[in-house]
Amino acid sequence: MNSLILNGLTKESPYYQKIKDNLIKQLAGKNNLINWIDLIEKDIEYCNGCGYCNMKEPGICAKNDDMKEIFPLMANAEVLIFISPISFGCYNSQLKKAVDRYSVMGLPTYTVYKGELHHPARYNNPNYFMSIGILDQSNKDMEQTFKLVSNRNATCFFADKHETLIFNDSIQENEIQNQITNGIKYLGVK
Amino acid sequence: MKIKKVTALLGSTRGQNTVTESIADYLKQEFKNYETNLIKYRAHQIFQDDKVINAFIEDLKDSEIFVIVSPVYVHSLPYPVIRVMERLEGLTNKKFWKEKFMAAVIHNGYPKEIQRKSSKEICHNFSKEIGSNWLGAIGFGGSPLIDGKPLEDVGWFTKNMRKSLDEFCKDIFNQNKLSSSTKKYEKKHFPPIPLFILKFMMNILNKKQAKEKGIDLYAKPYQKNEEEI
Repeated sequence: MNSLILNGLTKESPYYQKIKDNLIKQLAGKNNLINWIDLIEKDIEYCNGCGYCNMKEPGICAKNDDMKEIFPLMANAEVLIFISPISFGCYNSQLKKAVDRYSVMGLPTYTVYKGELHHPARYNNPNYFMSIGILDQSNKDMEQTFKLVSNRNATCFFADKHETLIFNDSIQENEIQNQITNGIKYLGVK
Repeated sequence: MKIKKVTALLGSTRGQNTVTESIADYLKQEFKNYETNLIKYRAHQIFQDDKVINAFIEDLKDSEIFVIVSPVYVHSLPYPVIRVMERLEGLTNKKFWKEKFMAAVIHNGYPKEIQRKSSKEICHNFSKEIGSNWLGAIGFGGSPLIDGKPLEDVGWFTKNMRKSLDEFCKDIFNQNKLSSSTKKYEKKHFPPIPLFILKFMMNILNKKQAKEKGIDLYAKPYQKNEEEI
């Protein structure tokens, strides 16, 4: 099983190593090929909505940057995980820049899914989607919005199961481990 | 306090002929009726240029209102808007925003409001974090039908949208939370067409266009075969 983890945290973040160690430990036991990407180390341009990937050369992005190595991983990922500090309820800009490029993974046609119009997935959808958000301190509004963004993405990625985890300064180290273990268990990653 | 100046942050990354510009231009025109000037800044042109972001902050400084006009990219605000928000939070303080009001207009192609909700909430959260006075957000689907044209030129499809935007300007000018009237026209904007009909119509158009261009809409350039996996 292929896992793609897009990380928007810096290595200096106190959460970086804890989350990485625990996620890799949980996924490694499941015959997983794990691709952990530190987005800060990648040269990624923002999507300028040119439509090239839709109606000029479907499935190919016009930009020549490091997304070229991430797109094949996205296309073949059965487990997709986003990690990011929470910016106003959204992913931070580092991760958002990569997420905006996800439109390459969709078809320009439409389908009705869960009572809404969506672009169908170009490839097999990720079966499992998880997003992990980091807040300095608890903030109910931002947590609620982050869950909504994550939920909306799970829907537009057509993920079979999804989970959202939010950590803030009050969380203990063993609690991070427990939540990640339970989150992966909940998703049912085989 | 009399409203004299509105600074608008435009979220589209596509350039000038966009639905975002159509909406911002309509607001600019409408605000003229209130003798209020609206200044436009495009997020993708300012987030990485210190000179431009400083000019943007200077304009914000003597604006009473900050409006975000943005499309939805992958179910939230586009990267440049989030980046500008992060930079603004670092470059300004609560005192800067205390007397200012904030509102947002969000748009995308989808008919359902839930597909714009997270973007509205992000704007609201931003307003709370920086300490400005939140007036509310409205959102409209069906962007491809507007296609960067002036809203008046689109005809019946933007009739309720324009009414909602008119009320939006009125609310903002009076420094009121967005009114039930603004919301009423927002809700009436997208005609109640069954989704399967919309899907059918748009797929016919897309497939026709693809046939004319000789492209394979369903190409899978990054699909690995079994051996590679």
